[in-house]
Amino acid sequence: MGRGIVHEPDDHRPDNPPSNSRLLEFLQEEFLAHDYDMKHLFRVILNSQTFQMSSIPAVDSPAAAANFAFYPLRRLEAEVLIDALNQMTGTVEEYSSPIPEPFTWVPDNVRATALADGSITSSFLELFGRPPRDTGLESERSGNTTAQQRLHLLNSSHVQKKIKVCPLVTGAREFSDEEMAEKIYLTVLSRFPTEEELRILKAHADTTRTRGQALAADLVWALINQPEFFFNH
Amino acid sequence: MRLRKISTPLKRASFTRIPKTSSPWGEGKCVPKLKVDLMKQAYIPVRSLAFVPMTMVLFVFANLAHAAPPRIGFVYPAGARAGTTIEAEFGGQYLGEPLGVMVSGKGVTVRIVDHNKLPAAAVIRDYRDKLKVIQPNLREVGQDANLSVTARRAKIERLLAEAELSEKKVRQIDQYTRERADLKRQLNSQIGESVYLRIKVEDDAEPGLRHCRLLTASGLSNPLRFVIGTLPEGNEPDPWSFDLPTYLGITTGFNAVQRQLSEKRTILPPATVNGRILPGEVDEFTFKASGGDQVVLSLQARNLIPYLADAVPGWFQAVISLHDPDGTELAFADDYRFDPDPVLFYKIPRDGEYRIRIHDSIYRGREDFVYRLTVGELPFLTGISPLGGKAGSEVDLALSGGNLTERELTRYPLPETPGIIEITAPGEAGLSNAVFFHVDDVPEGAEREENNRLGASNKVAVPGLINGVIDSPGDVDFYRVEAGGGRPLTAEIFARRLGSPLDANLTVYDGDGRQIAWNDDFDNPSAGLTTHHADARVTVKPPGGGLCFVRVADTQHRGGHAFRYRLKITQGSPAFALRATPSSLNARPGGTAQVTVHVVRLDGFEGPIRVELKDAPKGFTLNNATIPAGEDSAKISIGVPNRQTEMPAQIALHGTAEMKDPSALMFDVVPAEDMTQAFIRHHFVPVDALLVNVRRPPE
Amino acid sequence: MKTPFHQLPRRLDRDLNRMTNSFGDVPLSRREALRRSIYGSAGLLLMEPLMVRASQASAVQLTEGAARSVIQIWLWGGPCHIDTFDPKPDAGRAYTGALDSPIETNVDGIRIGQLLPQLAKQANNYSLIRGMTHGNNGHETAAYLVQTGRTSERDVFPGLGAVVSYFKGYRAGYTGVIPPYIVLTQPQGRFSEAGFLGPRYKPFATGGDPADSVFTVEGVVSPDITEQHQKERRKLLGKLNTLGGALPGNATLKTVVDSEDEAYELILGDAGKLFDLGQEEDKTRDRYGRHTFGQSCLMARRLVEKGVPYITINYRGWDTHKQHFQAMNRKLPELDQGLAALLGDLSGRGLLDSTVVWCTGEFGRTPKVALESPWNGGRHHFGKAFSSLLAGGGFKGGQVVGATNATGEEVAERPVYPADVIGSIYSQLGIPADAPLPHPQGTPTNVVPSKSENVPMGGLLKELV
Repeated sequence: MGRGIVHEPDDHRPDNPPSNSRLLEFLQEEFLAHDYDMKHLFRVILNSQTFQMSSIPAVDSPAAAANFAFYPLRRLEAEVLIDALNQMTGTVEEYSSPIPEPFTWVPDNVRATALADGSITSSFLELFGRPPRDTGLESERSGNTTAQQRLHLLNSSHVQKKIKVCPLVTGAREFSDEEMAEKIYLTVLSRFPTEEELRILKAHADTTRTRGQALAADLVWALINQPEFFFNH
Repeated sequence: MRLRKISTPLKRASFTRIPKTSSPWGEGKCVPKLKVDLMKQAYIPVRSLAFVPMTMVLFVFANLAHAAPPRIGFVYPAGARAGTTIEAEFGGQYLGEPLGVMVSGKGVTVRIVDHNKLPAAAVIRDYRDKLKVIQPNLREVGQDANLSVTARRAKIERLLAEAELSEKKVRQIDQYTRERADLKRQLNSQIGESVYLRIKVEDDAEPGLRHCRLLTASGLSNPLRFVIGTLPEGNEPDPWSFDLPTYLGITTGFNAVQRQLSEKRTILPPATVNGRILPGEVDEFTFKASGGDQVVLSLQARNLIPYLADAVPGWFQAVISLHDPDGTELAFADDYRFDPDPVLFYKIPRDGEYRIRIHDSIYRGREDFVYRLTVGELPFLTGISPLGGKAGSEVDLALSGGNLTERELTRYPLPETPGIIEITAPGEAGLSNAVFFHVDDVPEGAEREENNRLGASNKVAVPGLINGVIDSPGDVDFYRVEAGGGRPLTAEIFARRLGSPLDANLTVYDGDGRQIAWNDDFDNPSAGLTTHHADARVTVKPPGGGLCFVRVADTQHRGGHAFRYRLKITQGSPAFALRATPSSLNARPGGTAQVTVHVVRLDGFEGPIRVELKDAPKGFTLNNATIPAGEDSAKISIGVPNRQTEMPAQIALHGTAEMKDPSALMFDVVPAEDMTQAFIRHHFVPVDALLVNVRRPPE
Repeated sequence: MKTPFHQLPRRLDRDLNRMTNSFGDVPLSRREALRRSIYGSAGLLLMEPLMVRASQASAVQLTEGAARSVIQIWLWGGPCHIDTFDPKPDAGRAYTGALDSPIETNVDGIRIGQLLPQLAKQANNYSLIRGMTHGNNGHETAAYLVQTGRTSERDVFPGLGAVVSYFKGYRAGYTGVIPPYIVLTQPQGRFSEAGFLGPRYKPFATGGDPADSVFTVEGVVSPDITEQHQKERRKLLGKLNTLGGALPGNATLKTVVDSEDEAYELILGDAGKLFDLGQEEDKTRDRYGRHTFGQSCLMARRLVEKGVPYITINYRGWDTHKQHFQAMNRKLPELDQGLAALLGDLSGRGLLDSTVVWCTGEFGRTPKVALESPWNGGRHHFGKAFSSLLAGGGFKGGQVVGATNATGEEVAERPVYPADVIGSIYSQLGIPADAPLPHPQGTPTNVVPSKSENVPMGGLLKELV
């Protein structure tokens, strides 16, 4: 949920009480009753209505966040982001490490989330805040948005190349613009496009005179760079 | 002068068992279990080259200014089944003008097929240019539909020959391009040259570990390990294959790459697969198994090449995993106890096709990451009891493990000479893995429980050996020693060196129960292949009265029937171990061969050691070679005969130290290779023999 | 935050960024408001919020130093000192190998390796530190030692570049979209440049290759997309921001939009032209050498002219365990050409006094050549004695600090430790030795190790000042 019931989670003291002590007690009891089963606890939390709340708060109040009245916007972690981009575009990253000799070359099917060694990294992962595991502090992982990150997603050849070979783009000629937009929205944002969005797309296609693959590439690029994509919401 | 000899005269006939060395302490794993007939080692005598068919090519290189002796980095495949002939490759450096291969033991002959060294980039460019010139003619040949395969081939070869090319040169162009295009490859000139061989193993060749060396006009190479197996063998399909017409673009349709993908990698157990891991590669094999099968997957990688000088970690650390027909991982192994080579045991749940995956633990890879994987319901020895016995006697051994046909070996004869030997046991699918067994010549006894306190200890003679076991976690064993005379008393554990999981520590108490010495791990430079020197050794001045107690315990507080050990108590016999490196010497006729003899000194022995030849063949001399007092090594020069040797000669050395009592100590010098691990650590890894090659260097 | 500011325990200092970013729209805490007003929002957006206590904010008064910028040429892998700056021709072939006749420089009494003739002509522009030592032979540890001045223990200290970026970057009034700490072209990879300062002080690695026809700085230069296309699709991007429309006023999303605007300044603006080496004359480019290193040196000069405080050129390939002399034949002429052109150019444009040029590796290489297999003429790691080159920034040229023995295997006089070099560079930049670093646990820590840290030091390089 991006925030503890006691916040900060390691800051337990008398003048920092839990925001909802009954909730904390309930979760405690669940945990104990199921023999310290973490997965069960996850299931309880993830299946709850609270977790599935929208990010759009119904009430404009500072207490809303402390009481989990809406789901906070959280940027996707670096590994998750690159894995998502790869899965969507059908590409892979080559992870290697020059520390052992001969060098380590991680096989293609290993996801970034599964990289075991902190020294096996890429410029993308470092840019998006993957911790180098130097200090062991949790704060080493950064979830912030910086201009350098935006620069990379907006304009790097790394991402451009991925978009170019993305099946959504290369296969765009077969579909009508609407079908193509639907497919792209479903893949990238897991939802259908709204009427308004389709209208915007059509206007863009008309003014810039792009069609087919070029239009698909533009749409994929635009959606990858939406906060809706790289934030959990 | 009473000579306390602990050595064996060099026999001309075959030895029984191993070792040829005889230090009272362990050599480590590498002492091979084989019969060595010193005078008749397998080789191709130079004069028989005339009968070798035209496939053997002798190269005379323009650049012979660098007459360095050859160095071989790997042999692939690293083994063969008795009764078969295989194609194999040596990878190394300075392999020009190969003449033959020495293989220890009997029953293996080797024929040199070809030598390949990539020429310089400029030469490759020249070949490419020449190929471009004849490209139109080659295209014509390709388009001519009337030609048969052989006729087409003949035309291609003629065109190439006219252009001063050959299939081999075209292959080199392909190799050069491929190597440089592959981002993952780090080019290694020390394994860049190849010599291709045909190895023939006789039906009656004794299974086990051999050593092979390459002999070229520039000298004799270092040894490499080669395994003779008993099970059917196969090789992993080559990741790339070269077909001349396809490469030249003459035939299409039969795509070599497609062939690769469709080749199934299926094993019919029990069998052995030879493979190797290239950068980032994961090898997969499948095999059919029935429910209830007790399958053993045993992989040898580090056992083939113990140390890689320029690799970090310093050897190929293989991991294997077993997957069921649905792809779910069932089991995973990256070692076997403390042996870095993995062994996986699994009881198959149901009939089906199972998959094995092999890769380096951190996804490295290189041409010398060679492995041998044996799959099947293999007999596997996990332990032997007792762990040792007295030289010259017969012992009853209890075996523990799986898939064995016998649980005992009764009246097993032990060699006359002390040392560490290897014992295998039979099973339905051939012979089991080898386990170590310690042979010594002092009186032996067995531990008797209850001996868990000072007051209830077993008596041990001095000198004497006790076979014991830490039979449960927390078990401790006490022994009582009466050491008279004031000479230093040494207590030593043989456990880890014999494959026992015990991590022993020794504590010595005086007669009143006060602790006077303690040791957990003793760094033993002569145990070249042990990765964790867990065996304890402690030397102490005996307390007044001479009575003391020795306690054996496991440092990790574990225990069980596998945690066996041998405790040896000696008094006043300082020891030293001798190693000679390198084990392949090259010399000019009438000159000298240089070898370094290293001494591992123990128990404060600092005196000088005189090194002498032992039953040397005619023409070899050694005068005044001494390792000075307090020194760790000395370079000695062995005089060699005035004529070239047809094949390298085997020589042996022993070292004698003058003492007060006994008046002299003599130990054999164990031939070894100084192997570097991961750029830094050095290890002396024992090998089969010390060979001297006497040859005039090429002009 | 109910607790008064001064009573807040230290633990809350960490993860300031989490509190501000993890849950949408939250009114600024007093702490956050204080922080933002100190630094202003300009330039903040390129970087991470600080992992620092607000009270440490502007406690350091930088003195007026002679130098403004640092160019660090990192010879990754460790170059051999006796083949480069500390030749030992009398030690014999077992040590010198093929490089047995060093050359005289234009400073009496200084000789350098025979493959560095260009540098030999301007020895008055730089000084050689021949007494470098730290005794460590591991790549990662030695790289950390040389670039942080500290031994690796519990804390991960920031390297020189991150510290300079901290003191001379945005906090000190550096403006402009080009980040203050730039790496040409790949980051070192085994070294965390920013240490405990946090991701905000990580360098910006350009990627690409300046010797290519177009130096494609990742994200800034994208030759395949026309400016028209960039603008058109940017419009599409803004219009499709449905989430932004549903959460107006959300602080996190505002950060995203602001970051985007900053990014577009780099994409569409003139800042990207800085990386266009086509703007230099051909003969200049030829003088530096048309290879990655040479053109990186040229790029570094351009960045210095723009006022970038810290530039690292990571020059790989010096870890020559095998084929050492073949590699030296290839690389030393490149190093010679690029570095000599850089020093000459900086000097000619009057920039040398305000630019420190520091050329070093993490260690040296064994003076005795390893002839046995598989090395066959290689050299191994050697941290006991090695050499570094220091130029500009107010340091004297034509000097030699420290000396090794006849074989180059031991430091015979004036050992120089990494902390000495780093402290001296800070001093030239006007950063005092007792300037505090924002340690994450609040432990008082200065840029130069204090005596209590038990870090070996030989003393700042007074000989060069």
